[in-house]
Amino acid sequence: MAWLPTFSRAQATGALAQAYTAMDNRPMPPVYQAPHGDVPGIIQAHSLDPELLRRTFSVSGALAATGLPWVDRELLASTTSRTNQCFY
Amino acid sequence: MAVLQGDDESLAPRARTLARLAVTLTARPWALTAEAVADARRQGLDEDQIEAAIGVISLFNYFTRVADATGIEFDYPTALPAFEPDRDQVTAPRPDRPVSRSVATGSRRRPRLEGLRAAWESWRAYVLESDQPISQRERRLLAAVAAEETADWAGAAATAPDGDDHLIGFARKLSRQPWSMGEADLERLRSAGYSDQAVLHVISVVAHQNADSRLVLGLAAARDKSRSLCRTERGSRPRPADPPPPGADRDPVSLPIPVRPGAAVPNRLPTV
Repeated sequence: MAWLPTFSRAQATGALAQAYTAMDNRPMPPVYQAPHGDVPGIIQAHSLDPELLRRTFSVSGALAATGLPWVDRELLASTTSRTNQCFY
Repeated sequence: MAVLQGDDESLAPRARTLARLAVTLTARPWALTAEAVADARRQGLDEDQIEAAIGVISLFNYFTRVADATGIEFDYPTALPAFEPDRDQVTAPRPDRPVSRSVATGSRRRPRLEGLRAAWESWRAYVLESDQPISQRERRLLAAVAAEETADWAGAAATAPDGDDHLIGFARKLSRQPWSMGEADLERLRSAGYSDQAVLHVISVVAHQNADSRLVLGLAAARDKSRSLCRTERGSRPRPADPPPPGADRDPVSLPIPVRPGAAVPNRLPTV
């Protein structure tokens, strides 16, 4: 369980529900779909502030729209996580 | 698999170059050189792709810190063995003086890719300029500590106010050793009166500044090479330097972050 309160899709209302819907509607590789079927934990970690969530993940959307191939982005992300000793 | 195991040398040349870029910009962002970026060019990446690569590395220096500081669980499907973090990893010693003129006094580089720049600036404005649930003074303090931890001296000097030990200690630990964060670190903030939403913002400011400083340092390394190419290889006139930001004439080393003796994380480590 996370150390900060998080809200699932079913619990979300108002601006948070809208933010989750916007995230759901983005083109997303299957590998990014959490097995539990709910909003991934890294997104839920921002659920106390839907505006922070929206602005933060707009950056990842902008990076996905660049000409850098997905496989390169994944390699860079994985190496960064490994270097920071982080599972994410 | 090789990436998870840290066996970057077994990767194909393009992947190996990108992995090296990510390792350096993450662990020792002050040490990223124009030559390291030039390696990426030699592997076929154009300037936009290099900028995007620096953006991905920087953004994941945000996500990893948020993941570590909030205690979320791994929830992505993968056929690979679970990655086991080394919680005892030793952090690279920080330099205690500007490592390059461009970092010390130059303007803060921003992405040239329009969509990335707009999204990044919108994110940064919200994280650093909101008044609630933590104050702008607290945000500046947290950002200054994170910038200093990244050897982003211009960022640290531009934003350094006086501050509170509990915020400074939190920012240093999350910047320097995110893998050692624990629930107790959040409890200290709650004990100091911070609400859960305020704690989220404390985390987001520190994590964002770790991302932004790496973006600045990475783009500086990338564009140093671009200017060199303009002068020596393309035969054209060098691009004029960006104007210095407000306060760039101040000596960043003379504006240390105040930390009381006995703070959880030391203010300085030996020079590399």
